Amino acid sequence: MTAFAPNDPAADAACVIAFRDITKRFGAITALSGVSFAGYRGTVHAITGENGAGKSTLMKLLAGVFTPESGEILLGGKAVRFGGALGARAAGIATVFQELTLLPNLTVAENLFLGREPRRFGLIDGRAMRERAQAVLDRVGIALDADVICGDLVIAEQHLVEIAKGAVADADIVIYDEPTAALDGPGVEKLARLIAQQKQDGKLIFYISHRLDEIFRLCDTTTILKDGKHVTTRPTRELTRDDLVSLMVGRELGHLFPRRNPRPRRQDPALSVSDFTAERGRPPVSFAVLRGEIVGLAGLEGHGQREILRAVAGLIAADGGRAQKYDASGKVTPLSPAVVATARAGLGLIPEDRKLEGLYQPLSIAQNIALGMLRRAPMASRARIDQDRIRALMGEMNIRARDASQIVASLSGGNQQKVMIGRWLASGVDVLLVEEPTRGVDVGAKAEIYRLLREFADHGGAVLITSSELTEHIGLCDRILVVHDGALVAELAGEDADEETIMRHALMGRPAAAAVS
Amino acid sequence: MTDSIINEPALRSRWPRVLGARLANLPISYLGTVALLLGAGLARPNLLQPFLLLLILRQAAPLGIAVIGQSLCIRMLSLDLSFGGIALVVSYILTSGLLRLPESELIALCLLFGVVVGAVNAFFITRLRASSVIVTLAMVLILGGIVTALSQYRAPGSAPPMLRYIGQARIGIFPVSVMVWIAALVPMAWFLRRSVFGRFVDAIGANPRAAWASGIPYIRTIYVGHILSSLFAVLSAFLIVGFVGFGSLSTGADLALNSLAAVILGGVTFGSGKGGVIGPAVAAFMLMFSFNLLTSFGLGEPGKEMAQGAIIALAAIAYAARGAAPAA
Repeated sequence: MTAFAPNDPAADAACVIAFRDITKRFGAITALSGVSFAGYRGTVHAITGENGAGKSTLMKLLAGVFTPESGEILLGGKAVRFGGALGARAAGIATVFQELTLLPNLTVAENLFLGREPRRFGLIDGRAMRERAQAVLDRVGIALDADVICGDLVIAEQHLVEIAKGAVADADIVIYDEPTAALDGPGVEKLARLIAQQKQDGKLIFYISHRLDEIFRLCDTTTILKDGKHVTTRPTRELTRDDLVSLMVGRELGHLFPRRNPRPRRQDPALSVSDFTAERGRPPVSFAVLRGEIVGLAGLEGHGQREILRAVAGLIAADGGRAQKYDASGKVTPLSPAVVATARAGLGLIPEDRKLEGLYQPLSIAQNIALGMLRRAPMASRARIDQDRIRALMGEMNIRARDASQIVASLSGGNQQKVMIGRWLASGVDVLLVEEPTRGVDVGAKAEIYRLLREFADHGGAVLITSSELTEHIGLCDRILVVHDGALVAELAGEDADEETIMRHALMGRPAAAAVS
Repeated sequence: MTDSIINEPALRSRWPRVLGARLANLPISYLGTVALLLGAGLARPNLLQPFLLLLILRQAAPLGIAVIGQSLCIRMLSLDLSFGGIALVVSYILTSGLLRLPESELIALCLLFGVVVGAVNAFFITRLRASSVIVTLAMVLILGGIVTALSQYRAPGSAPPMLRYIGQARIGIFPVSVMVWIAALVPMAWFLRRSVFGRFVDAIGANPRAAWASGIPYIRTIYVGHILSSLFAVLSAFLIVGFVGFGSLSTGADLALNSLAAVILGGVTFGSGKGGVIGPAVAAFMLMFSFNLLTSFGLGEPGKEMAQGAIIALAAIAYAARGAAPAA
């Protein structure tokens, strides 16, 4: 062990935790590689970076949810290996997750003390638990009764309880994973006060966020991750907003992307959306996708781009506004909030989660693609399946399989993604709505998928994508619409866009809005 | 060289393994029927007389028809336990004389009733996202209650002549009810294999959420499936009432469970898109044959019921055991 080597942060008494050369893989994907840095007592330490930079994965390693492939975590100078989340908690690490983990049928007090209920004579001491829970709530300034059933609370209140969990735990290290995503203004204030108090108590607070305001306001130290690698760890006061953005982005595009079509685009729209509210409480958006172009909805996770795409597809009911589809002759079809109707109108949704919503895993490639051919067929009619077309598609798309009868579940991620695209190509739709076109796909298949989407557009189709990879927007899209808090805050031409500009808009919203805050 | 030395035994041992895998993939009903026939050949060769086999086939016809509907539901990840209630109401409509209508209109009324029950089942399952088990079981209770209440006023009488003919008559040595069974089975098998509807059923069975997200008319498919299922139950009840010759308050009581067992034994599995129509049909015959075999061993009604329960339980266990396997 070299834990106490000279100049090693782990030898420093104030150093609570040190990550050393941490690598974590999920299948073929490397989520973290060689990450090393240290965290100190009595500081608030921001972990930031783009979507998919590895922030949450790193914190889940610390919380015992995952174990690293290689590298070590030094807790107080000693290498530790947690056997699961309970082990991490016993070692004094508490986590407040971004998603709700409350049990809705239990009271606030029961949730706060779940798994560490105060006991008396071997039984749960209900009164002590309630009193202690109420004390915690009061200390954090949450005006809630500890006896209320969590399921009866509104979402914002549930998040406050979630945050109070971090205060209950007698932990030395508290991790907040995107804690403000669902909080309103006063909720954020309460959180800020709680964090300040915990800092004063000498705890180390890891604060995962890509909200610049909060990082600059709350955090002493900032660690930036990019593509699973450690970029820098330095005092926040030495950073400017612009530094932060530049450090979070920037990478080589390579030859992954097909050439954009240089000829002037036809100007007739394939899809238009006006005053469209995908979710209640979000601002209305208006945009159009023209034939021959690929448009990207870019933004940070949770800012509503996914909901816009899903509402257009009819998978979720829009709260207001209008979406229209134009066919090649210019005929207008209003889109109703039902996927059966939008698919008939000529829209194809390629969902992010292939397994859950995309493919018929136990069926063959041929059966999966054939279902696209039946998009408009009456149910009682004979299923006319053009097997030659299926074989031709498999060849064009370079789907690597034994033959068309191979079961889809046995294909690699990239080939599964191609089957999903193939189903819509066979169906004859002219608008594709694609969520995360290349999630969980290897680099070779990525290039092929980009080529397929580009060809689809070149043949008069229109494509709308969401993606958490900025390079995908820049390399693939003709136009990029940046979404911030549900609103379209910028429109950039794909060929002029760079990661920094997109991130700036995605992080700060409208320039005017940024100035106000 | 070394390669061939290693490979040769592997090649030689491949054949039995492939054969074994093929056999293991066959519906249990095929293997079970063969085993039962062999067993009967040894212990009770009398049962294998063509005349008796045709009788057993005739007994199996109502179940076989109900099984068509049940397997359709299961392929869509649904379930229809309302067969007993449907059979009871159909029996009551046909035999109580409560409605003084010509036979053809009574039959039409029964079919209409089947459509309504199927649509109500589908409504609760799709719109209210209720469990198909609970919805269709509740349906049995409601329908049973209605018939019990009504039958206080009028006891069931005898079946209409046309249905008695279908249930009992034979052409040559061939029972008419078996022909009805085949007449329902063959077109349905063809329809499910060739039609757009059949493709949708497979898709929904394989992944309902994907079916929903890719614009397959999910709700309509479930409606059609459940309505067809109820209609097969009505047809099945026609054969039962016709065969018995009169109505009773126990008509079709074991139809739902037996059909479930037959579907499972027939190799239809939830959501794999697998399972034809023939496997379950063979299973219907297999169940009836086994009941007869048990009778020939002198087992009384209670013993038969216990054996029947055991067979269904075994079918479910075998199904679960196989369900765990196909991932490999």
